[in-house]
Amino acid sequence: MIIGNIIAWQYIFQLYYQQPATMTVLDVGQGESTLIQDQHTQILIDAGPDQSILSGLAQSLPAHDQTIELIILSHSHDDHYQGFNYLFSRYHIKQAIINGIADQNPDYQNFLSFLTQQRVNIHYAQAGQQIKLNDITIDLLFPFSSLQGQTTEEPNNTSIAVKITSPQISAIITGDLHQEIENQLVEHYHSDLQADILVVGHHGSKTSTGDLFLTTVHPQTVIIPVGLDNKFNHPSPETIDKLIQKNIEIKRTDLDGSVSIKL
Amino acid sequence: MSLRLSFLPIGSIIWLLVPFGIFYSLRSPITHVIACFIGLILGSFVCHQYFLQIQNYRPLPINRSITISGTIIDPPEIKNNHQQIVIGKLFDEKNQKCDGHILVYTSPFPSYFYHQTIQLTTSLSKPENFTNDFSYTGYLALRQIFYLSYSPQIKIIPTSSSHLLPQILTLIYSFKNTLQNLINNSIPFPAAGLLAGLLLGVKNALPNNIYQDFRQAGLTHIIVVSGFNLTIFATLFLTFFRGYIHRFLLLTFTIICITAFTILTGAESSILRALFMTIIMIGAPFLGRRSHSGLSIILAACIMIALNPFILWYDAGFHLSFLATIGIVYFSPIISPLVDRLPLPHVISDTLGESLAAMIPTMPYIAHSFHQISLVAIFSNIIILPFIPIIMLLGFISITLSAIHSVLALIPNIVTTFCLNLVIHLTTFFARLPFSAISISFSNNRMIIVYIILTILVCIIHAKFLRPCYPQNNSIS
Repeated sequence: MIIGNIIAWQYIFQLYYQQPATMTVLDVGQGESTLIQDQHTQILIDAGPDQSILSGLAQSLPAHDQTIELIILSHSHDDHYQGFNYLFSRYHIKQAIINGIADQNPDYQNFLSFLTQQRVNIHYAQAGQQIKLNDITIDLLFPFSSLQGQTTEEPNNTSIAVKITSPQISAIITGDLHQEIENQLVEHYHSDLQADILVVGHHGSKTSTGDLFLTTVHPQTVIIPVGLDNKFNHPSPETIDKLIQKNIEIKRTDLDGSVSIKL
Repeated sequence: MSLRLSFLPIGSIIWLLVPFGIFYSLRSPITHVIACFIGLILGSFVCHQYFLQIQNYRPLPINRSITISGTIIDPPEIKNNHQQIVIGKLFDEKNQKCDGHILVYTSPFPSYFYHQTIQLTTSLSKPENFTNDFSYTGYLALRQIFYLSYSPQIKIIPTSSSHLLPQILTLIYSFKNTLQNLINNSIPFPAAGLLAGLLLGVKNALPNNIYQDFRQAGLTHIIVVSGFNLTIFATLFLTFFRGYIHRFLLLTFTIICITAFTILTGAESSILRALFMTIIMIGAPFLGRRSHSGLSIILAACIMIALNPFILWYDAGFHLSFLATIGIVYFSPIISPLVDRLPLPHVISDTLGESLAAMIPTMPYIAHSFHQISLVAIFSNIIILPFIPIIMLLGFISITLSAIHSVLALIPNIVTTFCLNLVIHLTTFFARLPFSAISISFSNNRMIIVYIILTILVCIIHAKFLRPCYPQNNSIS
C-alpha cells in the first residue's frame, strides 16, 4: 500500500507540477555548459571540464529525474566534453549531437567510445536541423554542412552554434567559434541572428564576439561562461569594454554562479 | 633483493616486539632502559638496511621516452580533473625487473582498475618537494614511489592472475565499485559524495569547495571512514552473532569481515590503526586476557611501523589518528568529569568531552603541519557528529533497498538525502562564519615543547588523581 501510494503521488506530482521551461548556463568553472529543460525533457549543451557539472545539474534537475534526453557537444575540447564522462554512471542519456570531427585525441576518442558503450543515439550536426521542445525551438546554425570524418587545425571553429527560440525570448550559443566564423554566420543569417540573450563565445576571449556579430545579434544580456581566476585571463578586457560600450547587461558564471532564464 | 625485502618486515617486528615483550614481562626500571636501547639499536639497523636497499635500486631513465610495463597495485584515485595510478612490479623494454613504483597522472577517463597490467610509453620524472614544510618525496616514498609519469600513452595488457590474494582484493574492489554506483544512482550529488565517503571511504567524491568547507569547519575526519565506523561494524557483528556460533568462529568471522571492510575502504592509516586495535581489544577477552586501550594503541603502532617504517616520518594520517586516540584514552578521563558538570544533555556532553579530548593532542600537530586551526571545530563537531551514525544507518538501508528495487528505496533515499544535505549545509554555515579558521605558524620546536608539557601534565594528573579509577576497558574509536 505504501509503495502504491508513493508511486501514485509521485505520478500525480509530476503530472500537475508545471515547472516552467528554463535555460540555465551552469557554473562549471573554466568551461561551458547550458541546460535547457521543460517539465519532462532535458537538453544539455556541453558539460564543462570536470565533475562540477554534477553540482550544477543537482541544483537544476528534479531529484527523481535521471534521464537527459539529448546532449549536444559543441566541439572536441575537454572544457566542453569531459564533464559528460561523469554523467554516464548517474544519468541515462538518450541521444547526442556532435560535430563529427575526426579528432584523434585519446581522451576524446574515449568519450566517443563511452557514447557507443552507453548505446546513445549519435547524430551529426548540420545547419537547418531543428529540435522541438513543446513551444521551444532549437535551430542548429553551424556547421553549415556536416563535418563528419573531417579533420581540422582549429577545433574551436567547428563548434556547433544554436539559436533557442521561445514565445518570450531567444538566445544564441556559439561554443568557441572565432570571429571569422561569427562573420560567416552574419553573412548567412543576417537579421535572423537577432536574439535577446547571447552566451558569449570562447569564454569571453578576444578571439570571439566580433563587432559585426555583436551588432547583428543585438542582445540585451550576455552571459559569459568562465571560471574564477582562470589561467587564460578570460574574459578579455577588450570583450568586456565592447559590451559595456554597447550598454549590454553582463552576467558571468564566475561571479554570479549559474545563470537561469525563463523561456 | 628478495632476501633484503623479506628481511625488512621480519627485522622490524623483532625491533618492535622484542623490547615490547621485555618491557611487559620484566617490570623493573633497568629492563625498561635496556629494552629502549635494544629497540633503538635494532630500529637504527633496520632503517639503515631499508635506506641501503632503496639506494641500491637500479635507477630508471629520467626525462627520456621509455616503454615500461607494470601492474596497478592500488585502486586508482579519480580526482577532479585527473586520475592517479600507482604502478608496481615493473618491467622495462628488455623485460628486466625494475625496482620501486611509478605514480601516473592521466585523464580521469577511461577508468583503470586494481591489478590491471598496463604498458606506459612515457618520460619519467623524479618527485620534488613543493615547500619546505611538507616532504612530498617522503610522502611518496611511503609507498615506494620514486618516479612520476604525466599523461603517458597507456595500453592495457590482458593478463590473468593465478594468485589468490589479488583475486580476493579484485573482488572486494569491484564490490566497492558496485556499491558506489548504487549510491550514485540513488542519491543526488553532492550528497552521494558525502555518503560514499562515510560508508566506503571514497576520497575526492565531494567537490573541492565543499571539501574545503569541511576542512575549515574542522570536520574533515567525518568525510573519511575512521575507526569510529569500524568499531560500529565490529560491534554489530559481535552483537548479532554472539551465542549462536562458537566463540572462536565468531572471533575469526568478525576479524575476516572487519579486515575486508578495511580493504574496501582503502586501508588508510586511521582505519588500519582501528583494525589492529579492534582485533587486539576483541581478541584479548577470547584469549582469557583483559583488554587495555593503552596497550592496544602501542601494539597497533608497533605492527603498523613494522609493516612500513616510513609512516613514522611522513604519514600525517598515522600521526593524527594515534594522537586523537591517545587523546580519547588519556584525556577523556580528565575532561569528561568536568564537562559532565555543565548543564547539557547527555548526548552533547559526551560528544563535547570526546571531541575536546581528541582535539587537544591533535591541535599542535595540525597547527604545525597545516598552518590552520579551525575555531568553530568544537561547535561544528558537537552539532554534526551525533547525525553521523544515523546517516550511516540510513545510507546502509538506502543502498540495500536500492539493490533490491529503486521504488523500495524511495523514502529512505529522500530521508538520507535530506540528512546528508543538512550536514553539508551546516558545514558550509560553520565554514563561512567570520574567523571560522585562523592561519598559524607553529615551529617544530614549539610543537615538541607543547607535547612534552602535555605528556607531563597528563602523567601527573593520572598518577595523582585518577590512578584509583584508571579505566581498564576503554572504548575504542
